[in-house]
Amino acid sequence: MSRTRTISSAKSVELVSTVERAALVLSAFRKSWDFLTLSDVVEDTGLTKPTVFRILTSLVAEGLVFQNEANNTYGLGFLNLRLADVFLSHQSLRQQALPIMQDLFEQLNENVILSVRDGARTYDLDILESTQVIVPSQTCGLAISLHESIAGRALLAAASREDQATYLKHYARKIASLPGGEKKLRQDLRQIEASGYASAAGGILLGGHTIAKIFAHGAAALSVSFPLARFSDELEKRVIELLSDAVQAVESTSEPN
Amino acid sequence: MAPASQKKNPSSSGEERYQIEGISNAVALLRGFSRQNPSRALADLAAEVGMSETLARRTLETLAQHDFITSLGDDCYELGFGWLSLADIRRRQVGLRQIAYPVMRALRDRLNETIILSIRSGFRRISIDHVESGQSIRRTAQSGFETPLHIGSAGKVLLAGLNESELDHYFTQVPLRAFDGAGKIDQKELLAEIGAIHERGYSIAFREITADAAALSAPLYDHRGATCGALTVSLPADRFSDRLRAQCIRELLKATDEISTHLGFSAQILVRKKGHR
Repeated sequence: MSRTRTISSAKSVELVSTVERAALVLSAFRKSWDFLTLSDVVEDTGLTKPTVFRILTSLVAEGLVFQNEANNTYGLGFLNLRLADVFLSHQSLRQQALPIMQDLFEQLNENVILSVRDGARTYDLDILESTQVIVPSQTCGLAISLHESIAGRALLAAASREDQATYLKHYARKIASLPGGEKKLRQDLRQIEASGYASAAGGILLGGHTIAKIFAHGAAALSVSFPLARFSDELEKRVIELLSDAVQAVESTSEPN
Repeated sequence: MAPASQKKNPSSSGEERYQIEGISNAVALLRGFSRQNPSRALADLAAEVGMSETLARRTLETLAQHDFITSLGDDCYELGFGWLSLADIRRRQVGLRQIAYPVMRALRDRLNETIILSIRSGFRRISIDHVESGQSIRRTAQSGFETPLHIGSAGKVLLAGLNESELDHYFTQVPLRAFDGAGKIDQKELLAEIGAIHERGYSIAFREITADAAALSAPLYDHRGATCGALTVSLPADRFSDRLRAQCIRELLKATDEISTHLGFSAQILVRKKGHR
């Protein structure tokens, strides 16, 4: 089962600079789905060219990155799949949710997403991507501040008032820059609390609409995302009904016998 | 094996000198986590990798700053969710053809028979790539060649990848006729063949699409355990001896395992899927 963590403070352990830089280089690959050149990574990380070259060479040797010899670009290696597989293997919530997500996906053919909370952030644990021609682009495992995504807002709305207050204080400057600022966000959270789901356009998904419902005592959200152009009141109503059934089904499978 | 276009290991003579020990240590620690041991105590992990506990802790905490490791407290760690995004992007960067092609070439070199890669598009099987045999009498192949799913070994492997409701839908939509359009195919016999494909992991077709060819196909699985393609060994029917057949089955299954692994598949996913059926 996923753990709900509150906002935690970093440990004061001396970091390993080469590992820190290697992590920065790997993180550069999160910015797009394209292969990267040495210059792309240099530009993204701010490290020097010789440093990036040595790190990439090490990462290639270890299987975390591969090099396309034909055009001298770099992509992510096979080891990433294995490590993600190990991570997912003990996510019991995902294993419970996946068959139900599949049913939901077959009924809607829109993106179906399982998101979990990790402290002040949320990330998508799994995404079943629509086979339609126009679909929202979403990537698993990207950490997003709770207020920045619709699923994240639903998760925040499910948190205790004390937890919400800590969050709003911590992110006060970022939230102030949103349209309507903190006042609007608080209104949104109350509305989500009252209705039991979040349904809104935008968030981090520009041009998209997301409908999210919380389960697992506020630790996870099941969402459906689709392009704004496909939004209709009928679709919203149908998605809300199907999401409610799906969440109930997941919760019933996770209840102890 | 990594696809040939990917440089997995730098040559020991030239590029080894550029490798960084701290990165090798970090990856050694990461490799210490497995499905069987998803969470590890610092002392065990450090001893296994041959690092001091202090350095192992510093390395793990550095990885934790980037969500690659999660600290569970009490000097216990597990992998972090940061790998999900990199795995997701890796899957989008490297497609089925790119992963399969070097394996197909190696398989062709071992068997010296024609190898074909196919995918499903709706109710059709489409060949998307091939590597031809070097023998003077060989099966030729054509990318873009299409058949209904119930015809040929590759089609049947893809048909076997459908769930029950998709299969029912197929049977209501597609007339079960042979490749020449004349002969009828019995649905019960087809279902029995699908059962046999699930059981043994491959399909054999003899003179089904062309009168003088035989073919043997096995499924390719993606990271969710879904059938995402079929790999076929195809050859002149009169060369298909029992001995060659046994060799083809052995080599084909080795190749499909390799491609599926590179697509993120592990056999346990399939066991779980079967459990849900």
